[in-house]
Amino acid sequence: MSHAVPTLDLAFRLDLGSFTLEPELTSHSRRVALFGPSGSGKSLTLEVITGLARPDSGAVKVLGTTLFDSGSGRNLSPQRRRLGYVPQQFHLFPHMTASENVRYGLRDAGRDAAARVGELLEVVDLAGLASRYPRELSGGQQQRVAFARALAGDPHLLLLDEPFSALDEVVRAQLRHYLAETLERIGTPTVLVTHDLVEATMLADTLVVMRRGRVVQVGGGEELLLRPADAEVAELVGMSNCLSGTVTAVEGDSMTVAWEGHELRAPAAGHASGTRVTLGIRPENVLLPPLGSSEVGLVHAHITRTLQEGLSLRITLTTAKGTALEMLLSERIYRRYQLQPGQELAVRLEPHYLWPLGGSGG
Amino acid sequence: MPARLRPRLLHRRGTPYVQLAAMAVMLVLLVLPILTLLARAASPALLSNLLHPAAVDALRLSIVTTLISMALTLLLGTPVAYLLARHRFPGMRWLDALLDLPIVLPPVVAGVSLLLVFGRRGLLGGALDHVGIHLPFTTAAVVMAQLFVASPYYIRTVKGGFGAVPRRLEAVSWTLGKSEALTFWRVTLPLVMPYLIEGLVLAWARALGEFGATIVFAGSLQGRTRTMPLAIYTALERDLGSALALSAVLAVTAFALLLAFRFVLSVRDASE
Repeated sequence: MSHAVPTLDLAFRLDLGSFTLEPELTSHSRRVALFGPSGSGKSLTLEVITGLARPDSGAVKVLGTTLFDSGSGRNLSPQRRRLGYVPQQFHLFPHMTASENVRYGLRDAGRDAAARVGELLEVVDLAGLASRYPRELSGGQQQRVAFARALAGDPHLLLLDEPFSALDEVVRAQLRHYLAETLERIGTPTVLVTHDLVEATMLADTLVVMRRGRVVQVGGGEELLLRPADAEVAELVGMSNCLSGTVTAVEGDSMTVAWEGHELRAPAAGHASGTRVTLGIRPENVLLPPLGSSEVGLVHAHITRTLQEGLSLRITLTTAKGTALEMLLSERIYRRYQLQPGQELAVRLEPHYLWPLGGSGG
Repeated sequence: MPARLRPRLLHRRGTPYVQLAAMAVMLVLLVLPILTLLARAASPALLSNLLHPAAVDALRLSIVTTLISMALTLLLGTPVAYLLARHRFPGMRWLDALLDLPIVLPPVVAGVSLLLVFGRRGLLGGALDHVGIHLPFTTAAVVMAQLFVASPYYIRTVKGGFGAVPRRLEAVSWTLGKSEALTFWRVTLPLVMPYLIEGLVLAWARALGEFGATIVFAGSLQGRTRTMPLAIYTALERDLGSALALSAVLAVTAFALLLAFRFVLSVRDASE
């Protein structure tokens, strides 16, 4: 899993006046996703890696090669960085056919250029559309041409900027799978920029959460979804429930938190007994006890709102003290439990899914 | 749905008398003169009128001078257009507006201005005189007058073309290992080509019809500075046949340029 040299080693600063980009990141993962809200500096970070944007200071290293270093004055031109950049809007050359676009990406067009272009179009499943112009291709096909063009230069690293944002939802779902498989097959290390959690978890092993120009958390998908670094990351990854309580006891690596008359158990996070703490839990992990069971320690609340989300229902519960609690249920479960708006309900908050969200203050 | 229920909003009813009347006036004003010109010129004497030495001289001079001024426009106008489209520098908006000035300036005024600078006692004329260069009333002056009035059309159009090529397209080419020069040659230039042709067509049409600046700055010397528009004006009093023949040639050329212009536009729109 771990390689000797990091895939990405970034520590730079780029001041744009109203916005400062200063990410610090060392990742050995071969599939990295820069994840965060728009305006967090993800795409700009990618442009710094390509050499199209130049930092004020710091260093950019990819797979052991120093691309930029303000200390030594080194700054490789975009031409010499050998990276496969696929921009957000693909930016195919409109006056060239699909195969000409791919051919343009070759670093040396020797005698076997035609064969190589054919191979690459094969890789992206577009062999039949080689002579089409970009305007005659669908969004998904354009993306695959841009991908093949980036691969043509035998890049050390692939950089994909929001690869699906220009596509509609149906195509997007198909292409995600396709791209995940293709990336695995060709094995070139990849850095992906996205604000979509599904994309990030499907196409990357390591997610780098960025916010206001900084890296705020680095981890796997599950880690991020269940153990976000703070309340803002929690919101970003859909951990929408925040319960404010008081620590009553700390035993080893777990603690007890008093919340609205309940004793909740959660992992300890350095909070002293008697301090306030916020616990997060995902709506997916607010659970219903088995029908007909008589569990104790359940949280009682009534259904105040239900929203349909495909075949799932996002249900807002309100506790006796007026705290809102979201849960996500399949329609099937909703029917089986014969739930309806206004009804009172008992739910389980398991220690395993509760996670303290940073700041021990109040 | 039945036709009767269709919204009536889009269908004006009744005859638009006012608009039709305006159209008739405009047709008499704009189209009738040209048709009449072509009809009068199309006489058995057309060819002999065109082969008259004065007419041949004017034709030859117009072709030679406009070809030179178009070559210079291409050579000088393209870098200027690129600079204006791609770079930000102080005073750029002023420069941009100034380069448009010749489009709205009356050509006679252009001729007077050129004389003030390049005339024998002009701003630079004296210095040029010392090194033996006399510009006014030469063929070079004809080319300069054409450049003055026509090149802004080219610069304007090609500037728009460079502006329409996404810079990121060039950036992608750099990441693919292609130098800036190669990128310009293989990505930027092909995409700007339709604008380049459009600009040349517009500028050429303008240069071909140039009259006011030429007569003031270059005079009207047969074979040296008397281009077709000047020859027509001169012939009008003595030799109406020649004037008509040359006018017809200019009118047909203008129409051909217009068609070429439309064709270029349609090709460009189809590829976008």
